[in-house]
Amino acid sequence: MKMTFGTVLAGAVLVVITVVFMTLGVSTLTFQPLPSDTARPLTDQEERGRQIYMGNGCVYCHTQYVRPQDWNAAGGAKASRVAQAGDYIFQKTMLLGTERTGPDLSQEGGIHPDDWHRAHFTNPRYTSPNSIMPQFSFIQGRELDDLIAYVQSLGGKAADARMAQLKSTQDEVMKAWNTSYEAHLAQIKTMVPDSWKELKSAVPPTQRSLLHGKQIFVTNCIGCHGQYGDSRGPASQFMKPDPANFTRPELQLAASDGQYYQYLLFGLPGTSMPAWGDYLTVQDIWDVINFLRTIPKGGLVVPDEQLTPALMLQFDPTYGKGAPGGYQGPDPSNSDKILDDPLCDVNVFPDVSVLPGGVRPADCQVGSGGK
Amino acid sequence: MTATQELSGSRAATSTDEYGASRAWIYSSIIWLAVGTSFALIAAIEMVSPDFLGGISYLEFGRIRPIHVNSVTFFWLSMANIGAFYYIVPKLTGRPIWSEQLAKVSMWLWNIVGILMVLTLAAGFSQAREYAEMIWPLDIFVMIVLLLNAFNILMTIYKRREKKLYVSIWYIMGSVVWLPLVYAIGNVIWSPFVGNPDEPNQNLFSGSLTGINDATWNWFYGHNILGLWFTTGGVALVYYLVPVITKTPVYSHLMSMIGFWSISLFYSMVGQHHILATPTPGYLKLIATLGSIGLFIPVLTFLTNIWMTMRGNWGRIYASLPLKFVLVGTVFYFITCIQGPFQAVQSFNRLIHFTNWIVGHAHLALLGTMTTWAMGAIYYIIPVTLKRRIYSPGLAEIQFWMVVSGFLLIMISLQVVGLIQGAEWLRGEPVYKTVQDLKPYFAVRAIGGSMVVVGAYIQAYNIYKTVRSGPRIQTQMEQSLAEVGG
Ligand code: HEM
Ligand code: HEM
Repeated sequence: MKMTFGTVLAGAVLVVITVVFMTLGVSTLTFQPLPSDTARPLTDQEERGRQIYMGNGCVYCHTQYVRPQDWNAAGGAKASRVAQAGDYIFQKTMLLGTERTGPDLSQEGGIHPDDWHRAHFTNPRYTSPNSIMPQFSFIQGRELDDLIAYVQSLGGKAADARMAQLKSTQDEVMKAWNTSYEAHLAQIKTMVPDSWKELKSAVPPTQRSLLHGKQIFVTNCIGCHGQYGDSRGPASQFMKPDPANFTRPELQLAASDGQYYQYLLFGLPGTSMPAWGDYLTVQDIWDVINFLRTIPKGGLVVPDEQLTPALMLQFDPTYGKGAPGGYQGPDPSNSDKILDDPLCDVNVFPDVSVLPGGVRPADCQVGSGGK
Repeated sequence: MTATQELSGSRAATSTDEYGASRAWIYSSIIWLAVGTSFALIAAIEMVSPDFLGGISYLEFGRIRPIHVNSVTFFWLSMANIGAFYYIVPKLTGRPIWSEQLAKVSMWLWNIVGILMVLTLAAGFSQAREYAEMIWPLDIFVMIVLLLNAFNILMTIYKRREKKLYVSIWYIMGSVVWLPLVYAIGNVIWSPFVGNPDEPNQNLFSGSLTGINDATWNWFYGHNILGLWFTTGGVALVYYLVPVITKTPVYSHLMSMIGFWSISLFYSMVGQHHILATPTPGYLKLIATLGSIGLFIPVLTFLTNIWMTMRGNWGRIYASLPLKFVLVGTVFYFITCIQGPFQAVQSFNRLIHFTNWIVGHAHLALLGTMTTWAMGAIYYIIPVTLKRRIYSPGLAEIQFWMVVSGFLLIMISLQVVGLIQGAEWLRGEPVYKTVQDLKPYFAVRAIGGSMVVVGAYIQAYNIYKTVRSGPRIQTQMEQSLAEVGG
């Protein structure tokens, strides 16, 4: 074969054009899937949010399709769904993504309430201390609303159903919250099945369990619940109702271990409290529950060697049921001091942060056994 | 002979410098390498310490990343390759470039596209399709420059004096026509609007289709700028440099031919191997997997051909810096193309898809292979055409080791953590948990990356000094030495 100018040029073009027709041409002409059961077009607001998603490169870290083997990639136990061709029928420009640095978002709608997203976009470390997602604090006002609307639309009609459920529960929660703290405690208890209501921790509260629980609390929970467990973490400013304030003895007396377990496993519906069942093991969850009970008496501020079961404030089945007025237990000596601390903008790097950066005011040290 | 051609031909022949355009493209590419890798370093640090520069919109990771990728691919590698084409093509056709003027104009236009690319992406205007991020108006601009370049190079070859077409010329001809073709098709440039056209602020000029077929088109494109532009362009450089530096004819003409035709056939089939797990037609995936395995043919014929040409010449790599860059590149090319077909097979793809393994593979290909080839070409072309010796061979040597070892740190750290991510996901660990495993490896990547950045700046400095005050080549002997890359 002689490689002349004509042969090379015509050959190069023809070979590629033929293959283009075989692949792109034939597949586009013949593959026209129907809308899937969850597909729906975006509203104008959601479409604007999608533009923000595109412009800020969210697609480089978040995928929008779940493979059959990814049973824990998106939405966890609540909303896993393997992608179907018909899911994308109304979208122009595919945002499938090829890298999964952060979780898949194809079913993100309705997993978290808007409050949570507001906190998370402002600084992802607020809600998720281990995250390496960038801050999107520069997206504000209408743009932020649009972006959140888009994220809440992911999952189509299934997401809409989750959102509707979330909104109605939210209304109930807020009604009780605006009434009184007691009403709130009573209301959240209605979300727990009866058989769990008096369940006791399955893991004995050894000191090891408490220390492990503290470690989990500090690495996962303080963004919302605060470094002193006083509900004043940096994310809390975005949230209604407030995250639980574990320094309040009433909460510890009113809530059983089984009740806490339910909230950790599945999240607290209608609030920003997410489901931790996808992240924590059974042992982790019981350890952190044991630990929570030490917070009113300083579990987060005492040195590690003083973190003993003696600090625990256990569930009292008679609490609030006409037993002699109010709180009867030992004096929660640390709580006054704790409640006076200013709202800190904590930014926790549980592992050693390799390079400088991060919001970490000097007066906001995590309670690691303060000297 | 047209009047223009006569004009440009005679002017270039009488001017003292017929490779000005080649060098102009190369100088720009060198600056873009420094720029592109500096952006990369910011991105790499942000992945370790996410609040570094936090809250500054135009330095946010998701905006910096496409700036990095576009600068190093379209503006470093592409410009360096085109610069080298403007040297190789005249050498192999026995005549000056068809229009030196046009080549320089294209160079300036291309730089303008680059600056607009940085500005638009930093401002948050993106098509969000990987490797096709530049918004539609820029796509049109890109197409114009690509066509001008293709025309200029094809005209030079068409009006050649040397009748026989050497293998590098086939690859250059292929590359310059494939790129505009692939770019136009993959960017779906005839369909620029997104969203509801009635709502004014929704038209972001994004060439794309509606529905999942868009992913197929995106990855036809994403794959073929790699396969039918960077690879074929790089192969053209290697087929030129190795025989010239070693003064040995290419080992086998037949192998070159098999390589050329099989690359154009198989590379264009395999786009779907980037999205093997999506709900797209199964036959596309089958074609892609088979095509990827078929790619062993062009890869192995090319490498055998080059390594056999090196027979008896291996000692030259100690004396010739360009040769050293190029041959190290061929080793990385070999590794890239061993990884590639495995990645394209479903069972391995399950493990490494979505992970940082792929980012490692991408750097192995474009940093380890293509970047070292381009650097080899630069260190060859600059001294020969300027008639000056390299200002500091020592610095060039440091650059070599910085780039190679920095790159190895990047690749190894990413591929190791990629396997960890993949294995954990298959076991059912959620992504939020595996994110915690990334940090130490990302820190190693940032360290390796900063070594590459240092290498890029050393190259810029060394070439600048060479242009300014590199020792002049005076004797015939020195000139012959430069022509064999010494
Ligand atoms: C035999 C040759 C090759 C084969 C079969 C191959 C195969 C693959 C596959 C299957 C993927 C995607 C894996 C995934 O996402 O699951 C991939 C990614 C990639 N390859 Fe290759 N590869 C080859 C050579 C090359 C070469 C020569 C280059 C560079 C010129 C290259 C550059 C890339 C890049 C940049 C990516 C990342 C794409 C992204 O952004 O996701 N590859 N390759
Ligand atoms: C000329 C040299 C380089 C080339 C050609 C190159 C090319 C690329 C390409 C093609 C990608 C996309 C990968 C994918 O989508 O799979 C990428 C991503 C990236 N590169 Fe580079 N790169 C180079 C140098 C560097 C250096 C020196 C660093 C570090 C300082 C770096 C850091 C990154 C980062 C952080 C990403 C984003 C990865 C992610 O999203 O997880 N690159 N680069």
